[in-house]
Amino acid sequence: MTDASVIDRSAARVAGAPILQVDDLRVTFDVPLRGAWPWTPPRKLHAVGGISFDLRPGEVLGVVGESGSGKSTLARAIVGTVPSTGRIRFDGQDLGRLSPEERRARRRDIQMIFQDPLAALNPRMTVGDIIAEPLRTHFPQTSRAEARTRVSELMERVGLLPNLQNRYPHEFSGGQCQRIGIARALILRPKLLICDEPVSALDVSVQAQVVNLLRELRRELGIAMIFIAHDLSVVRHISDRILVMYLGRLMEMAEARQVVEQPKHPYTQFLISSVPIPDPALEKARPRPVLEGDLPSPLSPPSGCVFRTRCPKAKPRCAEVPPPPYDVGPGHVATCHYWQEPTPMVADAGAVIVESEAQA
Amino acid sequence: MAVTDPTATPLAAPARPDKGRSLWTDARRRFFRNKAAVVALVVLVLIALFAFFGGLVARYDRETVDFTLMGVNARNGGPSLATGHYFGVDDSGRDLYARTVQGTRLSLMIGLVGSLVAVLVGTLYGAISGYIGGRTDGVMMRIVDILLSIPFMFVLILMLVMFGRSLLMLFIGIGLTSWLGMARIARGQTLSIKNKEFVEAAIATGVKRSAIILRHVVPNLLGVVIVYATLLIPDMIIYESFISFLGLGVQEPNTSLGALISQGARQILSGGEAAWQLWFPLGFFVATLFAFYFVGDGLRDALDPKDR
Repeated sequence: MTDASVIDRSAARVAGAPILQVDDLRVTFDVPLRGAWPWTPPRKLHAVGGISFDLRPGEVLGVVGESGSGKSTLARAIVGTVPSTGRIRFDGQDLGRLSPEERRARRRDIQMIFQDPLAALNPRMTVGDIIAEPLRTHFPQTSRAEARTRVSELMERVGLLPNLQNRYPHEFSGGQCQRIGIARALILRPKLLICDEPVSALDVSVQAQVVNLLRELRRELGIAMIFIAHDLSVVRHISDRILVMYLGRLMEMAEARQVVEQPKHPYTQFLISSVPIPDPALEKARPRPVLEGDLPSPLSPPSGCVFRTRCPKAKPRCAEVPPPPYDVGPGHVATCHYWQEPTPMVADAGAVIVESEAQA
Repeated sequence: MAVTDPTATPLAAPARPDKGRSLWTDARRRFFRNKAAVVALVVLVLIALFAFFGGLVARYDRETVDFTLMGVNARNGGPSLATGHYFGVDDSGRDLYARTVQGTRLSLMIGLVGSLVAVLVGTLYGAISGYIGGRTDGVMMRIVDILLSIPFMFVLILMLVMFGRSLLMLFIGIGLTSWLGMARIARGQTLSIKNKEFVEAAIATGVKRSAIILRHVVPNLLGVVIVYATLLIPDMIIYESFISFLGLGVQEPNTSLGALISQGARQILSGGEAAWQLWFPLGFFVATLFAFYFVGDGLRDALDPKDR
């Protein structure tokens, strides 16, 4: 489905050796039929269907898409907590070819932050032990005192009092728990940080603080990040590039500005036009197109282009030929046969946002 | 970024680490607020002290036969502080106090050993089975199902008949059955725990499987395991008493509460009048069971506050 040559051309433009190369990544889950015989073949759920991208050191790639679009599964496949096919090269090493023990050792360079900050912390462990766990795992010879010092430094860095080390997770608020999660992810100084909707479970005011903290950390430590969210307005503040997913497929990928200001794929255009604008006059004046229908079941995705069932400009060809990632601009790919044609209702989606920001 | 940040705690406070309030601390506080459970715990402690140190105040040992009282215990061998037979003597003229102390001790030990095996073997077995999952889980749990489907009472009786009645056989028999139910419970809990994000975080960090089971799964199982273990102890005691009641359990001169109750009941049935021979062991038996059930109940409320 993925046209490799298209991807390679866009990858060639990326400066510096990529730290992460994902090539035709697929994640398929077996869904056993209820009440069926044990030997009946299970149905296949294609959570991620062929995603390819590169990530440079220090770059932040935002991944957006609605619930069920396979964003989190993509993250878990890269981290390696769900089995996947395709190729993931990290630092020039094919992760799929490593032995389980080598893979386990490699995990110290890829760390993850989770959506539900409290659920991601073991309720029976103290915060200090939780943050020190990666250190204990990969450097078992670290002395207790040294681990404590490292934990204190890190807690201070993420905005927590170091003398709260002996407290338990349930004694902290959601925002503080997320800071604990960030400290745990950073203690090994990873090269890649995967943030799986790190702010969607938090209050809006706390969201901004956590996003700002991640931005600061990124500037200081130069970590590459994959930042997942269903909310485009959060993602575009932190990302260099944005990847838009729908039903496990890549819809569009480009520089963050490009995606927001000149979206080419009709799905991205709908997403952009649903981002609220903090200006009542503009907000009222602009058209609010609503994406009709629901996300199709990933158990039986539509033929051809997966978005065609909800696309206002779908044509017969969309049902027959799955669109390859078209090169629609410098470093900009969109998987739509008719990306050059204007989409009804949402053609100027990006322009309104540009206008509102120009005024601000 | 001039925004003040309420989730970021100010750094002015002293650097002395303060003590956290763990879930165990919370549970302990909830447990001690439960009056019935605390009373039951006190009773249990007293019974345990009686069982392990009661022998120090006994004036006779459990096997010395007082020939002057043999056969006439109903008339002359009643409970009395003056003679030193605090609980009287049984129909063979042996001191019932010393025998009750030893019987209670044996019953408690049977209960403790049974639930200790259950906690150690059952928890680990269930946690490993549930955490690994898939085919391994299927095989491990089918083994438990098969063992559970064997009527262990008969097997134990056969074992005691074939290999001779001994304390060791009894412990082996109790140990063999007690962990099965625990393994199932631990596995069920593990299935829900292993899908929690903190386990995924540990996997993503690169923690070894064995460390995940011991550090992340088992501590979160312990609440349920402890409750089940305290409720298992009385079951084990009843189990042993039943065997002893049938006359297959411990061998003379050792005794257990079940054996004592059996002798007392037989003595009354055959027209004896030494009622204390039944009431003392029965009283300790019932008190022990009640206390364990109340403590177990209190622990469940304390460790699992959502269920109330």
